[in-house]
Amino acid sequence: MRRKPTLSMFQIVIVIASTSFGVAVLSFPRFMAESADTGAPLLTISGIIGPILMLIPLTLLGRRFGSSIFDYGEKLCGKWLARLFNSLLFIYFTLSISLGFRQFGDVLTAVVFRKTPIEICIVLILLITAVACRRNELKFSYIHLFYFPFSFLPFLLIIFILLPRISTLNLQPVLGMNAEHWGGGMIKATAPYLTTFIITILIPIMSKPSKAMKSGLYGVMLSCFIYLVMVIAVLGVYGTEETKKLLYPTLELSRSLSLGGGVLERFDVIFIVIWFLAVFTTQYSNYYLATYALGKIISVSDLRLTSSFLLPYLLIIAMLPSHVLVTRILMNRLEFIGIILLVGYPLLLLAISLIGKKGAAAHE
Amino acid sequence: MNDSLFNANRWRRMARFLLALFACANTLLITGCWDSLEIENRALILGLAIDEPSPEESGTEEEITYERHNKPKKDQYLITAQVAVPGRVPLGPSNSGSSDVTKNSIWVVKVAGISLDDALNNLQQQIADPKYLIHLRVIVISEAIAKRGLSDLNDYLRRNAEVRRRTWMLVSEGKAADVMSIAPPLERIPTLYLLNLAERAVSYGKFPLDYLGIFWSTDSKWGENGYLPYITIKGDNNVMIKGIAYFSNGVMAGKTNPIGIGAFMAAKGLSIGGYSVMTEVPGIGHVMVQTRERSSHIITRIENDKPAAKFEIRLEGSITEHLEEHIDIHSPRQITLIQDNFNRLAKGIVLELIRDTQKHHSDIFGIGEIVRVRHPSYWQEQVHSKQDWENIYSDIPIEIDLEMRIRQNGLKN
Amino acid sequence: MPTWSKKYRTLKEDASMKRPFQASPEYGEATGNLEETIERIEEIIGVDGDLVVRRLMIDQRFPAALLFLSSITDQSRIQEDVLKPLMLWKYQDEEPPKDGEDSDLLDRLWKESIYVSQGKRSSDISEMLQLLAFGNVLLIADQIRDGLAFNLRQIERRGIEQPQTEQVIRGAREGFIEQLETNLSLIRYRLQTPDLKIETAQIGERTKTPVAVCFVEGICDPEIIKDVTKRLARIDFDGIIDPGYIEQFIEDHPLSPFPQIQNTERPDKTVSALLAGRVVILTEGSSFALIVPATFDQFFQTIDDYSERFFIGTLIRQIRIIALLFSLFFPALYVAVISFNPELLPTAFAVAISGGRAGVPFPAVLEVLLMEVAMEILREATIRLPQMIGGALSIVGVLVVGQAAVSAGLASPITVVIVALTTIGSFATPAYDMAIALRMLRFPLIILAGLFGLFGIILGTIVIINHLLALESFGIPYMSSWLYGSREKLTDTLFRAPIWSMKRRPDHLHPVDSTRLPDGTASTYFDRIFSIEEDSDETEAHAFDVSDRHRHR
Repeated sequence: MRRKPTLSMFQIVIVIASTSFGVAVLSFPRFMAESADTGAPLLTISGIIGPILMLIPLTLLGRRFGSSIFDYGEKLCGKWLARLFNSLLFIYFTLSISLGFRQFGDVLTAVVFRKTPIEICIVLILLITAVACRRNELKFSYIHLFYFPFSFLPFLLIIFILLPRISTLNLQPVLGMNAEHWGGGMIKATAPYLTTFIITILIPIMSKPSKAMKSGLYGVMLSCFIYLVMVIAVLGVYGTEETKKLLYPTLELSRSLSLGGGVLERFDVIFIVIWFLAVFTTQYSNYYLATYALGKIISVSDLRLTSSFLLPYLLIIAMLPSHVLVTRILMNRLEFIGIILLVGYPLLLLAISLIGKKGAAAHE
Repeated sequence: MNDSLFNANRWRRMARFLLALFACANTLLITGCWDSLEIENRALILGLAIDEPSPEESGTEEEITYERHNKPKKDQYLITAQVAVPGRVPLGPSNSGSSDVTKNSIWVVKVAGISLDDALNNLQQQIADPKYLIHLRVIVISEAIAKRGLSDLNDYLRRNAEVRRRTWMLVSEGKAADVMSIAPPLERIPTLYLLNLAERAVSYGKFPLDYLGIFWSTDSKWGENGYLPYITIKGDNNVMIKGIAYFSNGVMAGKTNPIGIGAFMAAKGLSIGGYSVMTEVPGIGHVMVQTRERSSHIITRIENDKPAAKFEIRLEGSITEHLEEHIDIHSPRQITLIQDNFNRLAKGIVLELIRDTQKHHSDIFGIGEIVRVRHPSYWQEQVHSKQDWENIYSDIPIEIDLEMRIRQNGLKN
Repeated sequence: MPTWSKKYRTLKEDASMKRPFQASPEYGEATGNLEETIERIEEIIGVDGDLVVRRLMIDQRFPAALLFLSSITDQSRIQEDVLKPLMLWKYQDEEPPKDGEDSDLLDRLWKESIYVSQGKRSSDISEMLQLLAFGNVLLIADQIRDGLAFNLRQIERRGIEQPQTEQVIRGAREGFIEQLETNLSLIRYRLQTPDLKIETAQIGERTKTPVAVCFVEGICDPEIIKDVTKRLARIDFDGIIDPGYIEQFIEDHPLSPFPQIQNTERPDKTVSALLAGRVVILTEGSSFALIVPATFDQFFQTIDDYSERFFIGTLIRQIRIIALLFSLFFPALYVAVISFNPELLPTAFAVAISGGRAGVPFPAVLEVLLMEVAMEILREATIRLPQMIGGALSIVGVLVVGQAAVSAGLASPITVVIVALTTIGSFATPAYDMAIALRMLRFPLIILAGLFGLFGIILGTIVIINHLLALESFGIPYMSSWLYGSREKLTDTLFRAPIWSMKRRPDHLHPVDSTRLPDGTASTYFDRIFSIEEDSDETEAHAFDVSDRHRHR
C-alpha cells in the first residue's frame, strides 16, 4: 500500500501565506492610512489577532478530530445546528468570492481594459478558478505552492527597489494621530486573513497535524510581513495625505518604478499581472471552500459537480453591485460579518468540545 | 436490457458533446479583443503645453462637452499638444539628424477648452486616431496658469489611469506653447529633449527629483509645499532651468533664481552636488568652489508657543577655478579662509531663499513635517488644515549653520 | 521458383474456398509421422518463401528433417553446429529409441551431439510454428511426436554510434540499436550489480515483440514496478512497432500535450535514471528506451549537466530555462505590448516601432501568427529534406524569407527578429516531445494575447500551469521538484548542486534506499574549499559522519 502523500509543515506555511495575500492588497494601505494615519504599520500588525483567534480552535479541533470543521461541527453541536452554520459559512464564502471578483473586475476595467466589458473579465477568471477547483486538496495545495514565489517575490522586489525613496519622516509618529478610528481599521486589517480558514480542510492531509498550529501561525505571520512591508513602503514614499487620495496606492507605487534609466517604466502593467496571481490564489481558496462546503451540505463528494454548479450564481452575484463604491460598502459589511462568523464559530465549537471533555472527565 | 442501457449512454454522451461544442462556439462569439489597438493606430501625445488663451483664441472652442448657452465655467485653457506621427521617426541610427526629420515627426495641435478634459476632447475631434496619454512625458504650464491654480488640472491628471507619475511638469516663464515648438538639434523628438533636460539636471545635481508624482505627494502633505522647475527659452532653440517655482495654497506663489536652486538643495541636503559659487576672498582673489556633496539636518524646537528651526548644513566641495592665478593656494590656512568666505556667502544666499519663501507662505523645505513628527501635540492643537501651517510658517524664526569643507583643488598644483 | 501468374491463380482458387479468418488458430498436436508434420507446416507457412526443409538420415537409419526460416537463422552455424554433428553421430545402443521415454532419440541427440546452447522441445504445432518464426531451427524425427528447436537466430544489425537526436559534448558516444540483446548489454556493463533486474515478456498479438523492463531492486519503489507491470499487462494490441505505442497505452493522461514518459537513445541516461529509482522499458525493434516515471524538469536535463562541473551545469541549465521561457512567451508578449500596452516601451522606441509597423496591413496578432506558422512549416519541411539541402534551408529560410516579407511590407522587421529568436530558443529544449508541446502551446498564447493583452497571456499561463500541476506520472506528481517537498529537488531544478553534496536521491520517487554518498562527504568538500591549504588533513568522510554511515530507508 503506497503511503498517502501529505503536506509538510513548510508547504502548509506557504499555502496559508499565499491564501491570505490577495485582492485587498491594492487598496490595503489606503484603508490603513485612513484609519490610523501614520500608525498604519502598527494597525497592520494588529490585524494578526483575528487570524490567531481563528487558528487556535481550528487547529486544536482539527488535530483532535482529523477532519474538517464541516464534519466535526456535526459531532460537536448536533446535526442541524452544524448544517445551519455550514450553510452560513457557505454563503459567506460565496459572497466573498463574488465581491472579490467584482473588485478585481473593477480594477481591471479602470486600469487595463477600458473597453472590455467587465463581465468578460469576471467570466474568464471565474472559469479558470472553477476548473481549477475540480481536484483534491493535495493538488489544490500544489497550485498555491507553485504560484507563491511568483506573486510574493516580485512584491518584495518592487519594495526593495523603492527602499531609497522611503522617507522615515512620513512614517512618524509611529502611533498615529487619530486613535478613534482604529476599530474600523482593525476590521479592515483582519479581513484579508479570513481565508486562512482553509487550514481546516488541509489538516487531514498534513504529515504532522500536531504542527498545524505552528504552520498556520507562520503562514499568517509571513503574509502579515508582506502586508507590513507594503504599507511601510507606500506610506514611506507617499505620506499619509497622498495615500488617502489614491484609490489604489500599491498600484501607484509600482507606477513610479523605473528600471534601467527609463528603459522600462510603467511597471503597473506588470504589477497588475502579479497582483492577478495573488488574487487568483486567494479567490481559489475561497472558491474551494465554497465548493467544499456545498459538497458537505448536500452530501456530494464530487467537487467537480459543486464547482461547476456554483459558477453561474457567482457571476450573477458579482454583477449585482452597481458601482465601485457600492461594492466597497458591501465588502465592509461582509468583512464584519465574516470576522464574527469565522472567528466565532470555531471558538464556540472549541468551547463546546472543552466543556464536553471536562464533562466527560467529571463523570468518571 | 443491455441494449437499452447502451443506447441511453450513447444519447447522453452525444448530448454532452453537443453542449460542449455549443459552449466552445459561444466563446468564439464573446471574444472581440475590445481593447486591442495597434501602436501605429494610436495618437501618442508626447507633450502638452497649457496656456491661458488670448481673447481671439478663447472663442474658438467647439461645443463638445457643453452647449454654449449653458457654459459651465469661465476660465479657459489653450492646449498645445505634440503628437507623434508614426512612421516619421526611423528605427535605428540615422545618417543625418536633419531638421526635416524632426519637423515632420511631430504634429503640433492647438486647441482651446474650458478644462483640461474638455480641451483634450476637442483635440480628439480634430485628430483621426484615438489619443493616448500613456507616453505623455512633459507638461509645460505657463506662469499665468500656475498663478491661477493647478487643482483642476491635477484632478484630471490624477484620475486618468494613462498618465504616468513620472511625467515632468514644468512652469515656463512665457508662453508654454513656445516651448513646445522649439526644435533642438540634439533629439529627434522635441519632447524628449525637454524630458532629458529635466532628468539630466537631476542626475547632475542641478535640480531635485521632482516629477509630477513627487510634486503631488509633497503638495498633499500638510507640513510641506510643492515646487516645480521654472524654465525659460534662451535664444532660438534652448531651454534653461531658471529656478524653482514654489506653490502655496494651490497656486504659484513665487520663483527663485538659478542659484536659489543650489541653495535649496543645500538646505535640503540633497546629495549629488552640482552648484558652484564664486566668492571673492581677500588676499586670494576670486575663487570658484563647486559643491560635491551635501547633507543637512533640521532641528526644531518650540519657543514661546511657536516652532523655531535651525538648519545644520554640511557641504563638501572642491576648487574649480581661481582667477588670480599668480597667487598660489598652498596652505591650509588659505583653504580655511576660502571656506569661511564661502560659508558667509552661501549662508546669505540660503537665508534669502528662506525669507522669500516665508514671505510667500510656502514651506518647500518641509519644516512643517518635521514639526509634526517631533512635536505632535503642538501640531494637533494648532494645525487643522494645510493653510494653518502655511500661515504659521511665514513668521517662525529660522537659523542657519552652514559649513563647507574643501577637499580638492583639481589637478593644478 | 514459380511465376507470379501461377501464384495469383492459386490464390484465387483458395479465396473461393472461404476459410474463416482466425488469428493464431490452434493447430493441434504433431502426430509423429515425419512427412505428415512437414506437410502440415509447409501448408501453413508456405512453400515458396524462406522456409527450408532439410531432410536427413540420422545414423543412416532414422529419418529426420531440419526446418528453419533462412532469413533469420545463422546459416553457417546450422551447417557447423547442427548438421555436421547430426551427420556424424552414431547411435550406440542396439535397440531403436522409444518415443516418450527419458532417453529417446531427441534427448540423446541433445545431450551427445548438437553444439547449440539453447533449445526447447514441443509437440504442439502452433508452438512449433511460433518457434520457427522466432528464428529457431526445428528438428523433427520420424516416430517421435516432439520437435526439438534450437535458437540460432541471427539478424543483421547496425553498428553502435552516437544517437542523432541526442548529441552531447561530454558523454559516451554510444546509443541503443534495434536489437534488445545488445541494448541490454549496453546497460548491464554500466550497471554491473546483480541488483539490476531485467524482466522480459511479449507484447503484441501478431508481432510478439519482446519487451524488457529493467529496474534496480534495492532502489526502485516496488509500487512503481507493480504499476508498470499492471499497465503493460493491460495492453492487448495487434502489433507494437515502436515503444511509442507502448507509451500511448500506459501513460496517465493521454489528453495532455505534455509527455509523461521520457524516451532516450542513450545508455548513460538510462543508467542514471535506473540509479535514481526509475524503471526502464526497452523494446525489440527500436532504439528508444522508455523511462518511467517522468517529471517535468527531466525533459530539460541532459547528461552534460552532470558531467560538467556544477557552476557550468547551473549556468547552462538556467540558459535553457530562459530559452524555454523566451520561445514560449516572446511572440505573445510582443503582440500584447504592441496592441494593448505600448506604455511599456521606452518612448523613443515606441514611436520608432510604430514607424516600422506603419506600412503593415495586418494587426500584430495576425502578422505574428502568419510568421510563426510559416516558420513551423519550414521546420517540418527541413526534417524531411536530405542533409545537404536541409541544413542550409533552415538558416536561409529564416533570414531570407523574413527579409523578403519585410521588404514586401507583409511584416515589420521587429516581428521577424522575434520569430527568429523564438525559433532558436525552442531548439534549446533537449527532449523532442517536450519541445513540440511547447511549440504548439505558443499559438494559443499568441491568440490569447491578441484578445486580452497581458491579461490574456497570464490567463493562458495559469491554465497551462494548473494543468501541469494536475498531471501525474505513475503516481508521482509531474511538477514534484517545484513543490518544496525536500531540499534535493529544489537544488536540482534551477541549479545543479555540486555532485558531492547530493547526498540523497530525490525522494519524490520514494526510493527504498536513498543514500548516494556517505553523510559527511559534503562537509569534507566544504572544509577543503574553505580552509587554508595544509590544514585539512581529514579527507575521510567518516570523520564528519556522525551517524556512522547508514543508509536512509
